[in-house]
Amino acid sequence: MRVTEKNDPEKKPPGLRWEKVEDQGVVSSAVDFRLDQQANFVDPEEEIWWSALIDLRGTSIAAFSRGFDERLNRQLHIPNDYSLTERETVFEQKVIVIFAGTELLRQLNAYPERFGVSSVRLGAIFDRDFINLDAKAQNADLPAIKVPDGSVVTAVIDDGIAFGNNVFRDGLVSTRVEYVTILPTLPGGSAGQVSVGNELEKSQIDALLTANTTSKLLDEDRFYQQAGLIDYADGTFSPTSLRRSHGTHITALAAGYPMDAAPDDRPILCAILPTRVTEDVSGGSILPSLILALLRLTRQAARFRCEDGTRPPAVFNFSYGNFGGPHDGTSPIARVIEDYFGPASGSGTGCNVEQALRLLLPSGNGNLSRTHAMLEFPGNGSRPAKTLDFVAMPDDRTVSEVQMWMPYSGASPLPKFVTVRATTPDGLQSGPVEIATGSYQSLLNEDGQEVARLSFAFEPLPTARGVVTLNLNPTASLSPAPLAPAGRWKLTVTPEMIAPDESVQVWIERDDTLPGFRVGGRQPYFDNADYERFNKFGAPLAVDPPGTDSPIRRAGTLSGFACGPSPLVIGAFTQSNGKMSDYSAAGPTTAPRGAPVAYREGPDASARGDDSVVLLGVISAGSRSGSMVRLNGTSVAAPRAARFTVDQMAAGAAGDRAWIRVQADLQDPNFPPPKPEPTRTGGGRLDVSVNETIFDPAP
Amino acid sequence: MANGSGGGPEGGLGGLGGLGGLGGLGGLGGLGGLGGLGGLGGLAATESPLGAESLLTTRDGIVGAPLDLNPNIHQGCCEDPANLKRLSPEVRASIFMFELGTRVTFSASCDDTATAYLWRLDTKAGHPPKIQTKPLVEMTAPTIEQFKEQMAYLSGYADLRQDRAAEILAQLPTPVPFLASIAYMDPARTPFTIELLNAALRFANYNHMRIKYTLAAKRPIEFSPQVQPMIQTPTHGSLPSGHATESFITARLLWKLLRASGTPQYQQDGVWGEMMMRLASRIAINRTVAGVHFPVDSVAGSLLGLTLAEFISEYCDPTAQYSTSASFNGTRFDAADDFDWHQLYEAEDDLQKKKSGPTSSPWATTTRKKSTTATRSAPLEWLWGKAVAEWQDLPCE
Repeated sequence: MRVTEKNDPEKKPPGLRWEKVEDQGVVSSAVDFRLDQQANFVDPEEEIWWSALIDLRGTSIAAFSRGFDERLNRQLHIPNDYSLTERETVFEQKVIVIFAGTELLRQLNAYPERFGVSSVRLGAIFDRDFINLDAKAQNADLPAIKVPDGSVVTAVIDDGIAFGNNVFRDGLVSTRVEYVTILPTLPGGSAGQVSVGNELEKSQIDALLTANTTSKLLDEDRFYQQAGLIDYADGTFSPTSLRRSHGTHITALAAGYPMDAAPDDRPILCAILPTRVTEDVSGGSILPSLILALLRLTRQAARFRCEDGTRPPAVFNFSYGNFGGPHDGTSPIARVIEDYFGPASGSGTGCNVEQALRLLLPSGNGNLSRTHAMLEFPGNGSRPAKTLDFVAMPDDRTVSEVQMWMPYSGASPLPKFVTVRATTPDGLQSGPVEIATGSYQSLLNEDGQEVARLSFAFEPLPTARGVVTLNLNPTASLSPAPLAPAGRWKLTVTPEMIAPDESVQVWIERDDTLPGFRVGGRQPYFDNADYERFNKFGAPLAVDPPGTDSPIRRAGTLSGFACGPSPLVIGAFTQSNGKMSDYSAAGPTTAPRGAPVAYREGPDASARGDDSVVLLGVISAGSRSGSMVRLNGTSVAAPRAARFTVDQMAAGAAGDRAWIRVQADLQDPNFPPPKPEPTRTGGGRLDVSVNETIFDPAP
Repeated sequence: MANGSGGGPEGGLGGLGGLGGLGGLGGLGGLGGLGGLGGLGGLAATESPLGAESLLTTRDGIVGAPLDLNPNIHQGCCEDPANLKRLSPEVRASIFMFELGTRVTFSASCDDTATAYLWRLDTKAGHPPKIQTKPLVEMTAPTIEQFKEQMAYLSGYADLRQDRAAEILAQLPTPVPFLASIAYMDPARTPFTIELLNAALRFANYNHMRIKYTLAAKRPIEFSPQVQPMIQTPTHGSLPSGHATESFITARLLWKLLRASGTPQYQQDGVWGEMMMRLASRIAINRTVAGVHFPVDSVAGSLLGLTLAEFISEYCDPTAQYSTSASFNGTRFDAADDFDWHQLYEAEDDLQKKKSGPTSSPWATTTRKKSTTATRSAPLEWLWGKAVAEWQDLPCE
């Protein structure tokens, strides 16, 4: 019942409008967009620090950091993890982590060549208190850690690893974790301490275990509070305060043993990543944290010495994935992984060590996420445009991003493969964005604030491909902010010079909220009517129907992290029936620039991700000693394969991709035929039992 | 409440429901602590208009003419604990409450922050009370600035609500069912232990409510509209936490029972006590997770509960030799700190720490002295004896 008359009966015209923007002269429009937008969502009084990746070209870290005037120099911090020697090394090309202020990053994005940089990628916003700006580079030699012959190190990078759990101890107050670094904790303030987070060695962990053990019981809450992992008052959130934590589950699968039957030749290294980036709506990336974790753990791995003086192999597990990226093995993450785990690694650790390092990655859980599309334009003459329906979720508190990767071309300037237009949910279409530097369209609200951007950028070598990106602001915010409209957007791609056998590869970047975490992102997806989600029985279709016309594909959903040549990539299957788990993402991937074939057609092998169709997930350690919980996903398949790799490398196996493919092929007959598609299972299904060894002392 | 015999309104357990008024202890019946009496429920059926009418007409039918009887009956025994076993548990509860409640008195002072004092009134058995007080607990509230700083914990702990919602709700009434998951309690097996713990809960409630009233500490919900507790905030003050007081008083008393029983598995190390303290701490912390308490409330509450447990055991256990008094000075507590029970108590030797916090300026101190005054209560000793026996191994035939 309306008591008073509505006083504004006039309909307002829709407030949004598209505007073509002239070339802004920035390398990455997407970076520019994030730097701009953050100001709309963060208190302007706050001093914003970002973690970022820069791609150095033909210069050294030291020379790079000397390139700024005094004012900007105060906005730059090089993590102390780069040693003095490393800082003086001139790199042909090298991705490094920096912490920097917004203005400095703008400069880098606008004039990269001035600073010897080819591109900038934003990580996440950092609270100033969480960076120890006084940390100085160290060149200290780390003492060796003696281990028995036949040892293999397991290194896990994850969030919320409850490293005090009894499955990682070999005694009541003795840990098997030789080193842990906790990135999301307040750093110390002195020059000798690390730039972010803290570090604990076995002796320190043991001292904490002793200090917190009474009547043979470890007070785990207090242990983690004293270790810096849990701090309920500082605004960080550690999943280890919950019953079930990803990192604990994964680490136990990879390296857990009963305390009273713990081996002395399976030492553990842990790096604990941040889980929540305070108020970061801009799609914070954990890549800088991952690189710091790799720096620290590879350096620690190099400390181990067997009795014969050699360095034992180290097997890393990183059960993370994303959706976006070029998927051709040339992304910064793929390159960083190659630095450490590729055939030329060794120098990557900065110690020139001879040490076999392996990395296991999950293939990703995005198989049914409808976040990938492949646009092909067969035939000759006039070819019709193709349209992708893209659903931007309401109540998405973080930015969304769609990446449309062009084919590789050696030509300069690039061929005008396609033009792209975006249409808002209420039908407002943008002008064309072309394959041309600086081409972009901006969606403005009635106050003239940008809420979405469609732009082209050239991704420099070694990717050397063009990418058209649609960036959307959050669709919801609790405080007034320029919001993008939620609903069904359309992306219209019109073929120009694209060849009939080429394709535009499209991914929506990952943007979801994990269970137990505060609500933030909500995952957008493609929703073209011709995508068949279910089979005739109503069950989800896990493989694209043969001959489908739909541009939306399951094939090609492989995690954007997992496309490089060296990591061992693991998919997930259901143990009881041997079928691939529906979520387990699939190849193929794209061949890197000019190469005839891609680095991989999918994962290398698959391992148990679910016990059965009704018992989803697998059992492993909960956060507190003595508890067991279930978790599923390719995240839990990878550490199972990691454990297998560790054990086999201890017996002399190579432990590399080729080896695990052979192993998977040998073990596949243990499961009902047929063998799943190579794009989903690689060499085959691994049959590895680990729960028995984690939880039951050897008989 | 389970009442197998389907008793009437006051049958069996029904009577305990009346205790609901005792500030949140209404759930005491949750354990079905007195279920063994359920058989009596049948009698209760007569306490209804229909039942009374039927007794009346029955009597009319059979009573016969008045007899001139000289019953051969003895006088009841004065002050004899043997009578207790013939009393209903509800009646005994009142006696135990009286025994404990009359042994303490209270005063308060209001300076910058408020201080509440519990005093002991020890009286020689068999003598008229002589008013002479000795300190039992002194509790000074933190400043409002300290509470403000503690608000940071409310936000952080709120992230655990999804994980702990079930236990937070289940722990709303009494900690006893949770303790029963550690020590083997059951209404049929350990009725007197449960009765003792319920007496302790009433006594804890009696004291902490009075202290809360004096200290008038505001609840987290009054500091910020973003706390949004997942349960209703009680109307009484925040510090000390009643849940911390009650969970620690019961945990320590139960641990004392287990130790007193002499049963081997409870003697070999401190693990049973340790586990009960971990439980008590979890229950206390869950109130911060729920959004109704500051960590410092749990610090004060656990100190109060531990100290009152010792006080009760002095009256219960004829072999007890020590009395403990405690002082909590909230203004000295570092508001950046979380609750940590280890700073107050050591389970293995069942000892409260002499000092908690910085040595030069501790925020809690306890004093343990040889009991000098006769601290005896025959009813409580009776109850204690029955409860200890419930933890002793039965001799093999």
